Amino acid sequence: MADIEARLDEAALIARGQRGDLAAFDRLVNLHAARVFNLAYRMLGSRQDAEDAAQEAFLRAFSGLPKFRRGAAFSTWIHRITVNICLDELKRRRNRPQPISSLYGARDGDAPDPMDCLSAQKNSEDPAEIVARRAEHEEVEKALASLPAQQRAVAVMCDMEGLTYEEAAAALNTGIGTIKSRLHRARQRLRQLLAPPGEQTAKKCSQKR
Amino acid sequence: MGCKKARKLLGEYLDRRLEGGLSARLEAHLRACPACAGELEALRITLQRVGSLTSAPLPEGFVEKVSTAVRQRAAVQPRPNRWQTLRWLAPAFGVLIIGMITWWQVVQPAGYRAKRAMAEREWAEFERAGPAAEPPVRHYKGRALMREEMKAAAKESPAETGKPRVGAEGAAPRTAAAPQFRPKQESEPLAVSREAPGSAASGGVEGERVARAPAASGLGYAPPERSDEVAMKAEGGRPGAPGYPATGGALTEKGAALDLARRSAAVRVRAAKGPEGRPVIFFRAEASQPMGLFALRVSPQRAGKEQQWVVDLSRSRSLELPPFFPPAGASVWRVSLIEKSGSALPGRTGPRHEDYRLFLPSRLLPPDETLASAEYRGASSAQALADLSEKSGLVLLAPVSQESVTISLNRVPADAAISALASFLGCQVEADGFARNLIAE
Repeated sequence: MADIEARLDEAALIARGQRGDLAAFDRLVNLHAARVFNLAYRMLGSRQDAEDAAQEAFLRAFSGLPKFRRGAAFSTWIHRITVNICLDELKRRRNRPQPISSLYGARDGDAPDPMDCLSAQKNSEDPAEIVARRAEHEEVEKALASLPAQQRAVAVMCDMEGLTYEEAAAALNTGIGTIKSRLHRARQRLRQLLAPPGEQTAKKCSQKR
Repeated sequence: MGCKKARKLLGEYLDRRLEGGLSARLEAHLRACPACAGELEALRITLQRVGSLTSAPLPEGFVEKVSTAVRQRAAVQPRPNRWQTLRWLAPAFGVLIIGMITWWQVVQPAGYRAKRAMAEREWAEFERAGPAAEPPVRHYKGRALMREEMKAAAKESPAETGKPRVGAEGAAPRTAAAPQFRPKQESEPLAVSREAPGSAASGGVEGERVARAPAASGLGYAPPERSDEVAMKAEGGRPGAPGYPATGGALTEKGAALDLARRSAAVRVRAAKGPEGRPVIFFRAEASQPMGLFALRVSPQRAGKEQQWVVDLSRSRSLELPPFFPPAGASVWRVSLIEKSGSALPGRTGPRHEDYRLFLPSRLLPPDETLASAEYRGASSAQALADLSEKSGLVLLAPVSQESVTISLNRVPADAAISALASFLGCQVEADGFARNLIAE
């Protein structure tokens, strides 16, 4: 019920935005900025690039707002725009090659802010735990960054942001089958990188049969 | 279920996206296969780790930055967006189209109808007024004056009435004939033709606009009813005179003009001596009332390049065309005055045609040159006219006719010869030293 109300609210905001109401569009930005920025950040690995990409995504959404189909989900649409911008950016980067390892960490001076992972949780935790959590996060981030761009996009959307297969398919403009197979491959790789040691026995099983 | 398939389904199983049957089969396999169960556990842990990765917090002031950028973009791209603009334009566009259709279908035709009605009225009035009326064409000016002169002359010498100077078989004395065609010189030609205006007056046929074939017996001269035109033509033929296009120094003062005044539209031809004495032709399209669009086409009788002008007679009643330099070797031309569709008056269907033959001599001769002899028996009028044109150095314009000619001329002045032939064909001929007019009915 709440979901439907949110959708109705969003539809009203979009309609107002289409009539040129800038305040309404600001509220749309407010609603979606966090997820859009996170997606861009996970895709690009750099806060600065992610901010640029997210801003560009909202600008494109604003320009394209008159063409936006009523009844479609704004979140799916803005995700699609963001993913496209990020894929273009990655393609551009490939032309001036950069080691993927540099994506996280020391890239153009924006070392991950130690407070990044803390802002959500209150500063009430044990420093040792903070460090451990930080190391944990870095490991996952590296694993994510090592995925091919398309797989990374699916993994971020489905496993981090909790989009359904259908939503991810709409955002990436592909079929559900493609989403499933990309997600499967992404998860396999993540599992290889992140799974606890000692669970490697699985291979034998698959070889046996 | 094998391990391979089970492994593939683990992700969807964790996402609870497997349908019941498949889910149950996978669970059965997992119970039997610890390796796959371990793999499921590993995947669950992996996803948990990924899911626990906190969202990257928004940069400071991100929303405000986007808001500013959006306002900048909005300033560049005017907000009443494209659809709204189009929505606004659509009725305007519709109104425009309706307006155009109204114009084409209602206003313009109404204008045409009004114009035609006016032309019809004018024409009816003209018809009612009869032959004495002044058609609204420039070259008729001064006719009344000349008629007065003629009448005066006739009164002075009634004895000469009905004495034709040139007969079909007779030879006119050269010395006597030559001066006869200079109307302003003496009263003789006026006296000869005095009969014509007289008969026209006594006949009093109302509604006949142009007098019929010459009343003079045999091949007598045409009644000089229109000698005013001749005089005017002679005047107009001088280079530099109004309406006479200047085409360089090669033109001489001597010009020949033949007129063919039709009911509503006419072609006038005037010739001037060009290089080597060859004629340069000036066409003038005229109408007795505003008519609309015409095409004037000049094509050689035999194969050759034709020339065509589009003449707009809807605003003015006459239009001078650029000089026409006929190439050597082509002496007979077809001149067509073609009424373009849409300009026809109501009651007349289809585009009308006026076809004339234009006979060009290879050289323009002095007007008093004598034509030694000519005989045309059973010849076509075209042949006869072409020959006469060549021998007399006259430019002739005659309506296309299939009539054959039987006529013989012996040592008559060129002017007399053409006059005779034209009258035989049912035309009126007037000629003087500078110009000739052939008026066909």
